Amino acid sequence: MKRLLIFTLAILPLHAQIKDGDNLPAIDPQMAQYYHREVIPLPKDKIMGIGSVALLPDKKIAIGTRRGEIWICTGAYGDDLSKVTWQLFYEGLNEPLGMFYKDGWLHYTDRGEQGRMKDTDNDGLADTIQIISNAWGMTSDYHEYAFGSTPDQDGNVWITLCLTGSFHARAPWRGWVVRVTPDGKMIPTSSGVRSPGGIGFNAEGDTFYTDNQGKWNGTSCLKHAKIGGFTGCPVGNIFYQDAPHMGPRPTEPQSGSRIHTERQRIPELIPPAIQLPHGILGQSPTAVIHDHTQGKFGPFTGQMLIGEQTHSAVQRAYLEKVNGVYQGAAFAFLNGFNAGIVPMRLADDGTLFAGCTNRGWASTGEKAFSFERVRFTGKTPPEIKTMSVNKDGFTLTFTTPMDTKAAADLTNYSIKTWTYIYQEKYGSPKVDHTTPEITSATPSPDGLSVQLKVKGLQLGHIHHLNTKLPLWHQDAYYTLNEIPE
Amino acid sequence: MLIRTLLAASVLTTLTAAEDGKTLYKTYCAACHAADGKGANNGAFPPLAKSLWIQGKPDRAIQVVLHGLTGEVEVLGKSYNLQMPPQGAMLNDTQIASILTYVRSSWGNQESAVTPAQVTSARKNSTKQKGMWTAKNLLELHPLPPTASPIRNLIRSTYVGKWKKLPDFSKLESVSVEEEHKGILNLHDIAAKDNFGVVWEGDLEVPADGTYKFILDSDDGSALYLDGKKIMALNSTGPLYSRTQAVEITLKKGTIPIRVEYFEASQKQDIFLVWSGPSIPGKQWLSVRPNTKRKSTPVIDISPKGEKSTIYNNFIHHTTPRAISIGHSNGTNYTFSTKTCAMSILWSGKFINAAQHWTSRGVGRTAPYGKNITPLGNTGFITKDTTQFRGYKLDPLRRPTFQYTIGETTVTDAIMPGESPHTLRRTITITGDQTLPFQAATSRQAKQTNSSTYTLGGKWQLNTGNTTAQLTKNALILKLTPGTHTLNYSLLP
Repeated sequence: MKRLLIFTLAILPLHAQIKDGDNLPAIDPQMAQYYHREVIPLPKDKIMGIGSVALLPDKKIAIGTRRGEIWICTGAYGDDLSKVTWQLFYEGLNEPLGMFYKDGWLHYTDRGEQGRMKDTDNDGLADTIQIISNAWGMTSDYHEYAFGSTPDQDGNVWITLCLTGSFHARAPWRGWVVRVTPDGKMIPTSSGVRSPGGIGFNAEGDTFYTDNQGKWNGTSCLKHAKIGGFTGCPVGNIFYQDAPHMGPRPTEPQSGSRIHTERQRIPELIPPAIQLPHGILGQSPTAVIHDHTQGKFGPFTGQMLIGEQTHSAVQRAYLEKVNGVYQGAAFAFLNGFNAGIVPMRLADDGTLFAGCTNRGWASTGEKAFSFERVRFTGKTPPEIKTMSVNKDGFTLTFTTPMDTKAAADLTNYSIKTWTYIYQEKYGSPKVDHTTPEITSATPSPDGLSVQLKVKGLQLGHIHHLNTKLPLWHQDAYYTLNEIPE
Repeated sequence: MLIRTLLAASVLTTLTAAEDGKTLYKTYCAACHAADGKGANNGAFPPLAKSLWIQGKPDRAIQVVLHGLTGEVEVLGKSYNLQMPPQGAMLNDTQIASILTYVRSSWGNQESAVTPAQVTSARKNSTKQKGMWTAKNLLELHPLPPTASPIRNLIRSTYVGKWKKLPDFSKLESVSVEEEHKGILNLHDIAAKDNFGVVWEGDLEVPADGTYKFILDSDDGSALYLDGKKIMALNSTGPLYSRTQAVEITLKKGTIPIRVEYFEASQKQDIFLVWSGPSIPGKQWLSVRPNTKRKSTPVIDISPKGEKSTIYNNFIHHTTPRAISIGHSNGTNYTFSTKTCAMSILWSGKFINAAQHWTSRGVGRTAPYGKNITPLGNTGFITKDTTQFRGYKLDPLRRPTFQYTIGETTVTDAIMPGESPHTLRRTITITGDQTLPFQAATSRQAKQTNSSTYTLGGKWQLNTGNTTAQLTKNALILKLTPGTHTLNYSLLP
């Protein structure tokens, strides 16, 4: 009887509490018109630095904390967030940084394994834990994080493995993206990782991860984890010897060169799809998701959303494939979160859930941790929707019509370019600055797009477009890897 | 006139540099060090305001910015173990000079401007520095500036005697009287190692009106007097950090007499006295810092409460990086390596102090928190087949039964609390038709005490029951046939 009593207590949901001051105003006063950010109350007196989020059936949500607990949240979609309740589901993982629900199991990726858990006796607590793969190495280094994706079209989970201490490859597959098949086979998939912050897919199902500025990363970026590719940081390439399916080890890059230059020497080298200028557009990119909601989250269907830990923000990226290589434009998007974002999930109804933590890495949002949701208000923000490259310039499309006269006015646009040194040293200054000339601006009659002819496009450079058109964000950062024929 | 213009121009240049520095600082530094220089998140990150690291010559700070800093550092009396990433490859010399000029002239810092040339030459002089600095290596080259002690006219009188408590020094005659020129309590140059006493007397300069906190500790006893009044005392024998005392006291700006009494009985000798308060950046040492460093990590004791067991999954000493630790309600704890599928540590009492992993970045391995910690070395099945951890099932009291495979053979391994405190009842079940040798302990640890009992590391007893066991030259080997085997572990009385 005593046992039974303890048991019952354990599954009573904890009522969350909203404290005064939890809903801090967004830093960007314009954001509230378009996107409504709310803080979801967490269990009282719990330390909940959030490393992973999974969407569950019945509008429940699971979060994984950096202390290794998994909590289930009920009411996170509700109108009245004071009714949110939490229930502990499991405790005892090693910093889970990836989680999803499939066929009755909660799957997770933590430092040591990709596994799944289930509550088989319906008492509210997970009681069966199965290891799907633990085939990568670790050395007891805290930085050996493993970020796991949701399953791809074939059910594989993609995992990006941080370097030892974010500098070294002291255990197998550090510095690699691997994928784990549903039957537990681990396939080393692409090399070149330094210190990732998240992994996910674009609308086409290709895999992307964020990698942070540092060794061989002049600035933080979104990288395409192409099967058989090498994404830039060569430290983990020592493991090619154990990956015959990957072919020969790529030529070592020349430190001090440029990515674009080295691509000519190293055919396996996949350039960053999006370079996020350090300090300007974030400092520590994390979660990678795309908007699949067909307008429920605003006018950016199919685009990438990138979490940002230091600046406590979300960036937006429009990707296109040119000559078989991903590239595109990044834009500032949401901000003002209470702590640095690590995981994000976008629910089918257009609710964005963001898990936040700043333990060990500071963030502009000054809370230690937070769980938040963002919804589109229905008012379309005037934005550059897409920026795509042409043989002789760029085409911008807008979310709302621009005045065609203003859109045709050349003085409303400027472009500056620069790139970063591809080097072993940590980070890079902005280098090789150029100022291309915009020779014409031809808007479409409906004002929803404008074609810019540009003289002096620079391969391998970020093209920073600034416009004076009345937009929420007037800057775009286009990473030009390829120019279409 | 020309001079005035030049002067104005140079002031202007300095101001502009500081202005740029502010913008750059906000972009690249403020996320961690905070816009107000006090360290982000209420000081979870090191402050720059009034930090000694910023003071004096700028070389130290330039090196930190150029090459980064890793490992434990102490800033204003607080310890940090984070990682400052190197910025030297990203920021140019002018930018670094601007940022440091801003930092050195803001938030109460009043240090000279830094020129791009200083950064250029620092860069040249440190081309050999490949990785990040550690505090130790950097401070050897660029030591922190000495801080002036607020104690003036400090006199040290030494006494000889055998005490267990503080004696009445006024009734004793000192064997020597010396001046402490540095104004710092110092025991290191006293020749006697045991059975002596010291009284220090001096004038403490209080910089401003307000509340000051004094922290006193010693090996063995000590007492602090301010203005003739006893503030606190450690009137017994004992090591450092066993009886640390702190007192807050309101003082007026000015000079007051300070008196510290101390005695040493036997073994180690040390004293530490620090104070903090208005106009003191962080904590200031009034004694020589003790050599022994206190582990200042807070305690997050996650020992099981009630009947349920606790699971902990992070890096532990004496085992593989992949390992699950279990704390049972009967005060018995163990770690199970999920790499080798073997019990790797046994201990009793408290389970785990999670503070090391659950605060800041969570660096390093932590030690079991309890007693009778016994690493078991290489245990588990001896096989050429692949051993693969498959997972576990938890019973309602959150006690796992591990499952692993050895080639085609499936093994379940339930390490449950026994009936009495500090005992484990382990049930290993082999499904399949293989009989497998199982190493229960190394021969260095195992000593046979009876036909089926062995001591492990002198602290625990293993009863192998009906299972065939053999203590070889190298190991205690059990012969595990298909079916179920029960092993009982218990703490020796």
